[in-house]
Amino acid sequence: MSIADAVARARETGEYQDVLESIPYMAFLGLRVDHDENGPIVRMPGSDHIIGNPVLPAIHGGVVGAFLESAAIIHLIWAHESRQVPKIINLTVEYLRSARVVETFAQATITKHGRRIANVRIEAWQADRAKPVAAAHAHFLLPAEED
Amino acid sequence: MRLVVEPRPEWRRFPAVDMAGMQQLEDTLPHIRSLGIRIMSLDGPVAVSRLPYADRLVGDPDTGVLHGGAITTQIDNLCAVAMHSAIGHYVPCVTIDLRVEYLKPATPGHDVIAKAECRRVTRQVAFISAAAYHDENDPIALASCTYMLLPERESSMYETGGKQ
Repeated sequence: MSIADAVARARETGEYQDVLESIPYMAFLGLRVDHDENGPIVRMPGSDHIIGNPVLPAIHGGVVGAFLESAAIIHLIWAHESRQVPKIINLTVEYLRSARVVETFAQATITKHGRRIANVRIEAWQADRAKPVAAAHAHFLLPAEED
Repeated sequence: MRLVVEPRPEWRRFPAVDMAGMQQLEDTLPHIRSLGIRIMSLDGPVAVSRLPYADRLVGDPDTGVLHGGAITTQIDNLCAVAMHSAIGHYVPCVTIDLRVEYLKPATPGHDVIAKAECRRVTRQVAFISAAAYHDENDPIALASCTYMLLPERESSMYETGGKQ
């Protein structure tokens, strides 16, 4: 399914899993999407193939970054009702705690939504939302407004 | 100017870095293996790796451009490789901060090369900068990464990586 078709259907159903599935790398990471009153919550299952440090063991730091970026993209598509993937400009990840290889959640908030640029803050947590494992802020270039 | 690091006494108990051991360590990291990332060269504080283009790593199905996250992972991994190479020993460490600027999209169908250079190492912190590109003069992404060193920690992963 194309992004445009998936977004069109998500607008009707309120279900963004198909949007996520239409983005290959997000499907590759096994991401799922749920919702609460603040928007999408993206979920990444703990699996062997996301391990970066087999001794701790811990999720790869780069995967944590990719996961936070993905949560931001899904949030922007949801908030902006965009039919294209917003382009990332930059991403700064703060690693706060070792990310164990268990189910991990992330939710984004838009700190500023301009016409062309969105500033996004993202947090990832595991068992306890009050103890985030990582946080990021990122800028995205938004697709031009559609008629 | 290239960084020269004098190994501290507490680092010397960890195995020495070499190219074969580094690639073997990389092969024990499931996500690095599943992305197909290979170390191409290791020279003091400078390391180079290759991320093969793959359809499953695409972030925008309309264009076929790779997801930024795949490049983030390549860079994060390579920054650790460059840091170990600069130090000369597999000192346990964790990423504390990573910033990536995405200058332009990767070209669909093309492998991504990354080059990381360790700029400074203190007793507890290391600073690394990196670039990802097809053509070194026209970077796709620029990055800076900060690691915390944990020489007080035992780590069998680094034992394996260095010895064989």
